[in-house]
Amino acid sequence: MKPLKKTLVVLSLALLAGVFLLPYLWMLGSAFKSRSELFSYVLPVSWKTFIPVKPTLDNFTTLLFELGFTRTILNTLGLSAITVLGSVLLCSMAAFALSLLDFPGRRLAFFVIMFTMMVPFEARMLPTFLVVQDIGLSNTFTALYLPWLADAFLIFLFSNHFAEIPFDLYHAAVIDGCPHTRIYSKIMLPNITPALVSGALIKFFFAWDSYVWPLIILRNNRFQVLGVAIANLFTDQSIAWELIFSSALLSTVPVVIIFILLQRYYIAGMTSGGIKE
Amino acid sequence: MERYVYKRGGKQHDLLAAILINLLPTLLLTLVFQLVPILIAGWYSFLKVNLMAGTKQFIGLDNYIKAATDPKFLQSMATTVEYFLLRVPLQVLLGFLLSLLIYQPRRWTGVLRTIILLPVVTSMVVVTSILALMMHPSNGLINSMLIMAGLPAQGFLTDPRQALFSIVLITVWKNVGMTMLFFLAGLMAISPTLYEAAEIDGATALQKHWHVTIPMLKNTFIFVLITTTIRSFQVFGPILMTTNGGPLNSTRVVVMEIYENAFVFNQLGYASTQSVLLALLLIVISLLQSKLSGRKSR
Repeated sequence: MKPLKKTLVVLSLALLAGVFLLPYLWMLGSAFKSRSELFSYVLPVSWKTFIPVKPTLDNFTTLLFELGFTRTILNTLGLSAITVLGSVLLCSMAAFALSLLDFPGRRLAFFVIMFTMMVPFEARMLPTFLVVQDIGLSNTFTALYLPWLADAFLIFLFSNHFAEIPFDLYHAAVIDGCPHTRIYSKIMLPNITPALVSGALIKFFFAWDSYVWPLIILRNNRFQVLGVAIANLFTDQSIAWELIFSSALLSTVPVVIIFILLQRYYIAGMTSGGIKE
Repeated sequence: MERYVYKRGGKQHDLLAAILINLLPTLLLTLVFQLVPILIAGWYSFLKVNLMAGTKQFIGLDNYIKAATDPKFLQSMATTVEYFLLRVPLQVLLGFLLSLLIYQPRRWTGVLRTIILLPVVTSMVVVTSILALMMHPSNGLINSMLIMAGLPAQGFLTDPRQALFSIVLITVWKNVGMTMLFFLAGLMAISPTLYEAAEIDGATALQKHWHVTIPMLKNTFIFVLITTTIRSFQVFGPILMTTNGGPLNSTRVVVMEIYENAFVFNQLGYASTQSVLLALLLIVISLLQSKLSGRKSR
């Protein structure tokens, strides 16, 4: 490539990467600034806008020890863990039954699951709230995860992968005397491990992102989750920008690390569940 | 495909047990938290619910008639359509261009793909907070850069003429990586021999894309267009966080309208009617997708 053309390509790629990275860099630098320093270097934009001159951890100690973020983070971790484990287990079990077994009512069960997938949460927000309230779960931790364990997308994802396992494997296990009730855990589950990781990641990012549902269903702060806590800092119309940035950083670091380590599973899961020719 | 078949009245007790153990928990949760709520919304849409008096009164189609003539609801639908018209072409086009840029493996493509996907996995609340602060009229980073470039500062989310597009920018920035990913998957599936044949026929790079890439990606385009459309009609979180429907109702989308009627004004019947109308719309769009892409249901 000619040097000029090469320079242009590098420049435009750097610009593109900048569009996606700039908000992260701004958040990262600002999270370690005091409020006065944060607002001192707004204009003109310089390196001091992004890199703290006097870095401080005060924002994090305020969040963790005064504003209850320690508890909030533990709640969110617990919620994510239960959602991931519960939904991967239950959805892979259902996918096993729907894709490898046949029985009266299978098509109906499949249709119901597919139909519910077409009606997204935003259209079910109010009636789901009413149901959860009626069975006495409002204001409980259970209400945060129980409605999200059955997930049609995960069932499709796992079904696709079960369907690719040679049927002879099942048949051989039955001939060897393995009861049907144990084939799921002994034979089939180990064969779709990559899909299980994909499903777990998709569900983790989803649970970590919880916002509207906990906002509706929780009336006190005991089970507060990160999404609502950060949104509260933001919507308070206060000028505590430094706390918004540092809480956003606390929420983003685990997600980015997990994504960078396991992104190929996430990508495989998102694209295989969507379009399969 | 092959399956183990359970016949009613058969003696395969352990097969029946396997079916029940594996399927029932998920089926039960689906019924309680997904199907029953849909049915309740359908039932409530014919009721007038008074929470204070604790009464429910059957009023037939009144809620539907009200919705059809309610300027607030119709305006929220119009705003949602406007949002959809602003977002979908932008996100699909950008996603497509990004996929073309990084689909030939080079040294930097892996890193760039990861960077573009970061907003997809970052929490919506974080993305909205940071981008909204960047768009802050007086202390935001974007206005600082505009002023340094000699351009006038903008109102963004505080300006009724710019607020909806600012929401579009936030959601496209967050989700364009996903669109890119779907196009990448489509591009990977195109056989290289098609490009070789086009090259032998003397096609230029642009002609190759026009005559090979775009026709071969037809199904991907349909899939991406429809899923992004559905997402557009669901938009809510970023609006609830930033503008709450304002300024001057310029970002009052249909889910915002439902949320307010349900949780602020306690109009449970009417909010259910609006939910049903939104659900019907999205079901029609979903069915359109399976029809257009000819996907086999199993």
